[in-house]
Amino acid sequence: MSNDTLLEIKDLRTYVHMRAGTVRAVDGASFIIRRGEALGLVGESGSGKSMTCMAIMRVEPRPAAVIEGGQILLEGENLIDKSLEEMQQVRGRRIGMILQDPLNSLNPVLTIGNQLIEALRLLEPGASKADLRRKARAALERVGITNAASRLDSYPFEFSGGMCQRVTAAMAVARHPTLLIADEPTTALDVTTQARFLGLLDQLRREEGMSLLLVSHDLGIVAETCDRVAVMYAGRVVETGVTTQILSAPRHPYTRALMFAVPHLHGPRTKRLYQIRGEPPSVRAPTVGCRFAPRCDQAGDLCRVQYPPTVHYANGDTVACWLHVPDAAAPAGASHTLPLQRVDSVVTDAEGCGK
Amino acid sequence: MNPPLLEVRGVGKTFVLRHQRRRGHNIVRAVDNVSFVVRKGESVGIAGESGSGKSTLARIILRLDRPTDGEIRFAGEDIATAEGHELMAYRRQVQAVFQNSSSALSPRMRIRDIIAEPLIVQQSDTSPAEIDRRVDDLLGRVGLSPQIRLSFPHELSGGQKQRVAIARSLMVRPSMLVLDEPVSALDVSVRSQVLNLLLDLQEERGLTYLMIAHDLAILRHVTTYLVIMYLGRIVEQGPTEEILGAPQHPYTRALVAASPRLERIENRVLAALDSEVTSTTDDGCAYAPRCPWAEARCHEEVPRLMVVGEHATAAHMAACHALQAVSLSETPPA
Repeated sequence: MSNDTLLEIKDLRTYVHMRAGTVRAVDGASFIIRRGEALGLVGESGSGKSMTCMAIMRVEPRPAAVIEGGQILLEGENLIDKSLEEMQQVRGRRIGMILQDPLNSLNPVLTIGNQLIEALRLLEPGASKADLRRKARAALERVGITNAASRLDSYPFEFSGGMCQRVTAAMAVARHPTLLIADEPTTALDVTTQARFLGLLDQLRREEGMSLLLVSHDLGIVAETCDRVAVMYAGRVVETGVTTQILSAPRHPYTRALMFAVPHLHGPRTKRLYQIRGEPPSVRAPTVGCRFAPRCDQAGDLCRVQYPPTVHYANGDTVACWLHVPDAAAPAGASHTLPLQRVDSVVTDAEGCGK
Repeated sequence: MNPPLLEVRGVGKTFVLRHQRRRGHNIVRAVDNVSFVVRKGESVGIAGESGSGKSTLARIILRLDRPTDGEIRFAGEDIATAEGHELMAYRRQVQAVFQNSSSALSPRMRIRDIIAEPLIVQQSDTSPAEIDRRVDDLLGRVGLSPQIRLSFPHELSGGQKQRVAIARSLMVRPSMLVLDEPVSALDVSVRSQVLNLLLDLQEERGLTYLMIAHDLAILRHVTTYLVIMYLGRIVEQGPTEEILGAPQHPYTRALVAASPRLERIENRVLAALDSEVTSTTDDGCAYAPRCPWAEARCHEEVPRLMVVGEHATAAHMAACHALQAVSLSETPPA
């Protein structure tokens, strides 16, 4: 592990045991976050991205969810080995977290000020009430809330969704964590509010010099905010890469399909969207082979029987796909005219957008 | 140009709040003086953020709600006040697909009965065998196996449920569909399947679409004409490509600039967005409190829709005082 690695997830497996069976929510996920960088974790519902975040914070929904294996290395320390008491020293202090629904993250019967003061008191247990109140006001101003002094006495229901999310951001960075996890932080927000909140996250990250793990189902949101992107599918990370690389030349067929399946706001209009067949898999049964193979246009026999090894590139990019394994027996039956004709016509479209 | 199918003229909907402390502030104008035309075979989109009134407008057009002002004509007939048989006839022509298919499908009905229900409600004399045949046809057309006929909604995935909702809407062979955020609850990999299906169905059956969505890229893909709403009023309307390519109204500009896209943009112009949505107002432009171009007049007088745009086609209109005076500079004033 090189020195600039802040967090390394190695072969993480988190299973949820239910009466109806075991759901392999995270099933061998690996990625790294470097110091000061913003990593976007992209995937569809059920791909395991939220469960991964909860496992990092060690707030996986126990007792049903169990971390069955792997490592979560924060600055070299394995968080899986830590006791719950030791984890309290990590949560908030070293890793901050922002969740999707800001109204559910805030206590509805406490004023915004008192909730902020609660977070700040943990940092300075001896500070006076007046001092903490002044700091709470500064924290609100920092996240761009006007009239901060009077807003301290407001309750969450008096705030809009965007303002509540700003308050949770203020709390998350109050103790200067080295890593901020934001799990779908803008999904409940309107487009214009979302753009401003993403701007705020970026500003806070630069000011604090912290790393950001931004989870989203929307590749567009991640594209604008993150240095690197990790794509999850059915509990595994199928591709990681520098954002520009992922956007211009995605390696994994799933990433590629995701990009061509969405309509664009600019550039030439495509008459039909590229269509991924089938539905995201259920992650109940242990599966053999690549999880995406049943929906992949380029899958061959090998893909269906053996999970591809992860290919590492010199700049740290990774991809788990047989098409990229050097010297591997070519997936028998795979069409080597990459990609489909339809995608070919869309490739020019995506390039048009990039200008 | 095709004849108008749906004409919305000066439609408004006010809600009276009972428990508001301050007097004089107990009326919410959810929709205010909205007018547009949907031509046969065309796709019109309505865009706006939450609180813009787009869903209230959809409910009014579907006559799930009555407008408090204005008139709605469908194929020349006034439907704003239609009752009984007239309303029934209207619903044979206009059907809806909603965002959340889980709550739009009755959990206690089987798929076959869900899809057949609109026809049964319309008291047609179609025989049960004929109904079964049409259900199977529609299931096949929306890409579902006829074997799910006897399933319940909870046994299906989100994408499958939305296909069932589309099949149901087509059972009475309507001429127009109102699509209220039809794909926003779906995963990205399933979304394109449903969008392609909607476009194919439109081509095959000459359907007219009124699509409500907050995602401009999806509206661009499906619609040819776009209506942008802000706090109950139309701020801009015109051909989709023209609006998204050269947005005129300051709010539309902000909306286009804020939409996520698969590219990195440095220094995006988000200055217009330094504040949050305010409440509705009777005086002046609803967007004025957030607008960097706003002048005194904007706070006093409601701007009317006027023809704008380079090509100055009568179709492209925006409601903005500042736009009428001069064309706006690319960046907001300091």
